[in-house]
Amino acid sequence: MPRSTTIGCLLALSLGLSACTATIDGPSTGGPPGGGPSGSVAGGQVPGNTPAGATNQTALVVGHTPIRRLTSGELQNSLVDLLNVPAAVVSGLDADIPGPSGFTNDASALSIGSIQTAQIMDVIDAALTSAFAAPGSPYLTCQGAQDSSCARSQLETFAARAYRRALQPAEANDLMTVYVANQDAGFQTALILAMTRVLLSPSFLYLTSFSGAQEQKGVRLSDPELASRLSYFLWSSVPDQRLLDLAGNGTLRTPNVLRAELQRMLSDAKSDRFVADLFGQWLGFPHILDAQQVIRDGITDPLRAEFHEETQSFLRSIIADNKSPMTLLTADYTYLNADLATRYGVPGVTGKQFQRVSLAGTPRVGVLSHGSILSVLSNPADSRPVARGHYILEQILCAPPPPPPADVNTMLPTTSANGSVPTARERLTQHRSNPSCAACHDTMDPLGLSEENFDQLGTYRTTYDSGQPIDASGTLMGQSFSDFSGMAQILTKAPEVRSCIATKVLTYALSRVLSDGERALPVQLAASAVQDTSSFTDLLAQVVTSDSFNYNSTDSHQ
Amino acid sequence: MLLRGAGVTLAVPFLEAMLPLRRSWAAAAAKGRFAVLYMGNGMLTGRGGTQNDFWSCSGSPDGITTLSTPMKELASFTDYLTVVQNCSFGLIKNSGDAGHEQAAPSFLTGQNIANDANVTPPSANSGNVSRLAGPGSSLDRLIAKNGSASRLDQLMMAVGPSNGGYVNTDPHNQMMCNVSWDSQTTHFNNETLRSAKDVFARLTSSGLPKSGDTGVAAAPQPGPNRKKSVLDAVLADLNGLNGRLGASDRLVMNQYADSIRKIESDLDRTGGGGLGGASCAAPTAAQQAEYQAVSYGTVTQTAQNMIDLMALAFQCGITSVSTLMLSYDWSRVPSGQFSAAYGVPNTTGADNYHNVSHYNSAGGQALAAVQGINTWHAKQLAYLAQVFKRTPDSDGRTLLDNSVVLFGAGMGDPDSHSYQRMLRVILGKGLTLNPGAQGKLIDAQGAADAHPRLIQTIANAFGISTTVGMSGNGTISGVF
Repeated sequence: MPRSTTIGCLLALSLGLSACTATIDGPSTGGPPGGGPSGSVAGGQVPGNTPAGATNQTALVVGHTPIRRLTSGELQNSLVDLLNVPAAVVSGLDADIPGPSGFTNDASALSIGSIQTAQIMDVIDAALTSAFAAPGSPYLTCQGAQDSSCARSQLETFAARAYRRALQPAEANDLMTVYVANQDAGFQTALILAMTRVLLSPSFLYLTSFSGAQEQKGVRLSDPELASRLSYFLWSSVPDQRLLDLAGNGTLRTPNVLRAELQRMLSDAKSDRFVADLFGQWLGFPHILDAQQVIRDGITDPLRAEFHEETQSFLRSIIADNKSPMTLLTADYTYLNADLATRYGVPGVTGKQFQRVSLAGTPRVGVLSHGSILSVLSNPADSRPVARGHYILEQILCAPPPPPPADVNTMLPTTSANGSVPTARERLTQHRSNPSCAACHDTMDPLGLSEENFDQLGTYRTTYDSGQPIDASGTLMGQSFSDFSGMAQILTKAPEVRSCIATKVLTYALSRVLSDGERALPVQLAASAVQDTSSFTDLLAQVVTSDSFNYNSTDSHQ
Repeated sequence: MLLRGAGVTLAVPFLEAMLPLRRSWAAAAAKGRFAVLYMGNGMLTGRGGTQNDFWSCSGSPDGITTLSTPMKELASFTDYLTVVQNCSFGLIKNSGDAGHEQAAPSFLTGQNIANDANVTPPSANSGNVSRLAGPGSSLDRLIAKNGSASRLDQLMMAVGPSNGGYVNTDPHNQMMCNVSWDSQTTHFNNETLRSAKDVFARLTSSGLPKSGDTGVAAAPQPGPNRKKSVLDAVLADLNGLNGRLGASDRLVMNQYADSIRKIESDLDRTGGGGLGGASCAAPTAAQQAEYQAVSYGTVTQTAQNMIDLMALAFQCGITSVSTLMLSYDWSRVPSGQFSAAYGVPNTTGADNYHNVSHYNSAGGQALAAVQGINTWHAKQLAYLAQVFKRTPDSDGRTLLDNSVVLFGAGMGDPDSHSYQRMLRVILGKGLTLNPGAQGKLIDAQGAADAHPRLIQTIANAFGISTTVGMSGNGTISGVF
């Protein structure tokens, strides 16, 4: 690691919270990963992170959404939905790596090389093979003979779905050129080749947002582009025919139509993909299933699956029951089966089936106290308070601390002055004696230490194995807390947390980090739609009607 | 899978069925194979009086007399062993400023940040990959481009990221994850295969037979020209779209177009008919199952599967050049896997491979862990030697007889980010390598340009006469 990296940790004292900021050479200083407000932590008065409710008259300037390819997951879903083939047929694509926004759909990170293209060709090949091999395959069904007329009809219908818009006559002719050129190989072969061309076309593999009219706010997405953006946002896949029809007849943008479509899409089973992709990548809980990476004392494969199921069921319920986005942190309920209930000390739950269970009277509240996340953020044999604190800063407050300076020892001391085994709190206190560590750890450590009552499997405890009592108290934003639930309560009151939730949803919806001109947008959204009384649909409706979702600025490099 | 039996028309994926018959193999470019095994986070060549625990040996050009502990792994292959010791790169912007970032890019390019106080060295998240001094290709790329036609110009592999590699879109990280470079800014992050499954898929799509292949096709195969015509049409789409795009969006589309052109070029090679000559066996069913396993194996399993596949790719004439990054600089193989992954002592407090490489500050068992990691890498090199030695080549010799295998790390002592007195192992008897029965030890005497001169030496041996990196066209005598 270079020692000359320019990182300065400063103290931001607003709201009594010490914070650290990074000054990093290079182009990515516009905002932290996640596209959130830049700079200071939880309460720092930085541009765009004005607490909800505060006046912010800054005019929003829509950022640029680049053309982007479908992620591996989106491509697989699209092929499944278009061709009605089993998901197993289209596996085999490498997962994409999350971009600066923290999401894999980040346009700036979705590069492609010949390996990925070859994989895509293989998957398309497998999907078409399966679709044509199905008994009574619709693609081999013609009103009359299997001839050019039938091929044209098949191709026009298929390409319009795949391109998510009406097909231009010239495009249909081009597809027929492929068909005709290969007709000597038979109807099926020629049709498959032409459909391969459709699926390798950028009109299918890439999402665009530049086809509408130029207006003062930017280029307005065309109605079909809006349908695609909605569909890839909530279903991670192609729009269905209804959405395309509404786009085609120009009614999709009508407010009550759009709201109704939102509800319809969220009620569809395909919205499970939204839960998996947005929440999974944001909160990281699916890592619990990664036995290669998450090695914890006492963990078993069934326990991994149970932890995963708890969080997934909980998140699905927030969408299905249209709860407030704040429920993520405030929920006094979760989903448990008998095994997990025993682990959590919740009585009265029987059977393997997961069911909604009250957490009232337990030390747990919200998703941060789920075994999945607590386990992921642990060391093999114990909790990992630094990781947990870092996680809360990055994912809940959208204020990730910079990497540690290159010239400091990042390893925590393993012995205390008197030679005894120190507690995590004692080790971190020692670590903070170095001022360059303290700048960030003063903020991070109390957050992580508040979860010390949960061990490496998220099991509640009051003492360490050594018998030493656990002290989970601390101070956040000038307010003292005695344990995790106290810390969580302070978090849930913080406007920064609300705007962070809006930031994450927005960033995922836009497939990019927010531009400087959009910094005020999550604050505005949070003020109206991330409140205890608002619903998740309120937030999504705000997102999909925002200028940033509906417009695109010109490619600045043009 | 090839079609078997009449009447089966859709039992195989369609595009695969369009590939030509996989029965004729490229002639081996005998004696001219080039392989690279790279080690991340530096290699220790000695520390105080403990040289024997790290990478060192003693002897002369006439024979190696003693091997240090990790190098003893190669004791059975001394007749294939050429060692260049004290191979410094003093032209690099040194020590703390250099960090881990410059190790991988400098290893095969022989160039790096000029030792100039006005040049800001690469730093975390800075994106300044372009600050490598001067344009240039890495040795593997030069050899690949200079070589005779094969189905793949090069096979690039790396162990990770699932095992802790540090690959993402950050240019800083991409610097540390790539030894192959075509220019200051062109690396091959997108072309590098990171699992045995991907390598196997790449090789089978390039002609490697699969277990159970009979070599007999039962159905007429549409030629690759049909597939190419589809790709041509897609390229036409892309050209049409470009007129409507801004500059940065055009770059995105150009990347896709480039990837299609690369596949077309591979199709041209594959579809050009057999190059004739070499033959190779399909992997066994058990091997194939292991290569195709969806879950990522252990670090060792992955590395050795990749070495097996590299040997198959050479033997089958699919390529003559291959790189394998066994680990990354700044690798963060996490603590949970750390000791088990490399079979080294548990390093309490040091939570990843990079931190352990700073063994002084890590303390505890860190130095012992570094030593163990060095030995792990030596074991993989020895594994390659075994595999290559037992694999017959088309001319009746072995792959090891026909190969030049370069092993090393981009950096020396990682604790101080030193680029001084590094050690390079060259295995094989390819080209005119002739280590003699007892091996050969060459002392580069710590010259500041020793490392780039060694790169130039190998390039020259492969018939490349242009100046490579910062060698000044100088070489190290006695290697070949």
